[in-house]
Amino acid sequence: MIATITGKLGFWAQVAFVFAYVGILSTAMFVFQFGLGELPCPLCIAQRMAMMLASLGPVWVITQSLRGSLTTAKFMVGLGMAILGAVIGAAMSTRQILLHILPGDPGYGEPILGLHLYTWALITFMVVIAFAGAVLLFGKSFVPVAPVARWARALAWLIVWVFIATIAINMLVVFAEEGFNWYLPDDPTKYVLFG
Amino acid sequence: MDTIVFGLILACALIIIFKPVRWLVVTSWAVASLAATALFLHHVTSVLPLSF
Repeated sequence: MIATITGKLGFWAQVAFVFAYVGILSTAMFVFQFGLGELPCPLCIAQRMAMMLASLGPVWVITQSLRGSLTTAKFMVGLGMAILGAVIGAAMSTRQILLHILPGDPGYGEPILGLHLYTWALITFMVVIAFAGAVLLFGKSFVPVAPVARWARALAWLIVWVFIATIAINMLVVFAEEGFNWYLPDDPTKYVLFG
Repeated sequence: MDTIVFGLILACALIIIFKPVRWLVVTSWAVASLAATALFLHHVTSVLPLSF
């Protein structure tokens, strides 16, 4: 009984992980990039990539669970992907924080609640590592058990597909920003593809 | 390069959905991670004037 409850909790925790990063990535793109016109710098884009790499672990776990083929080993693979993705992202965020740490530096972009986006990004990466550590601490207890209800399964699949759409949209948007160049400029001011 | 890295991440996500074989998923994820790390290292162009 308890194993079933923790299994279901483990499943929805993985879904919440992906949903949270979809929300963060969508806010960065639709509010800051399109709404406020703040073009993301190369390090901002790299941190978006790391958020997606970290999220691919839970996506693997969720889809395997929904198909009824999740094993403990596959669950560990998913958590490993999440942890390593978060470590890569934390290195990127830390680099950007240190670039702007000197007194008098205004930072890059507008702060939210007193912190810049790259600082918030570092916090999310730390949360991911803490989350994965906490789940691992309980051994097999939180190996996800997929729900039976159709609406719940449909909701989980929907979030997975919205995440995949988020990756695709980011790819198109960065192509517009970068054009046919190999790299983004350090301080982008326009969508190069459109001149 | 950024577009290519996003493409690799998208490819990994699609492999997870349509061809969920563990070694293939891990390999595609590792390739995407290495590409993202290489891109990041390309943008690390200077030693910061900081002392800890």
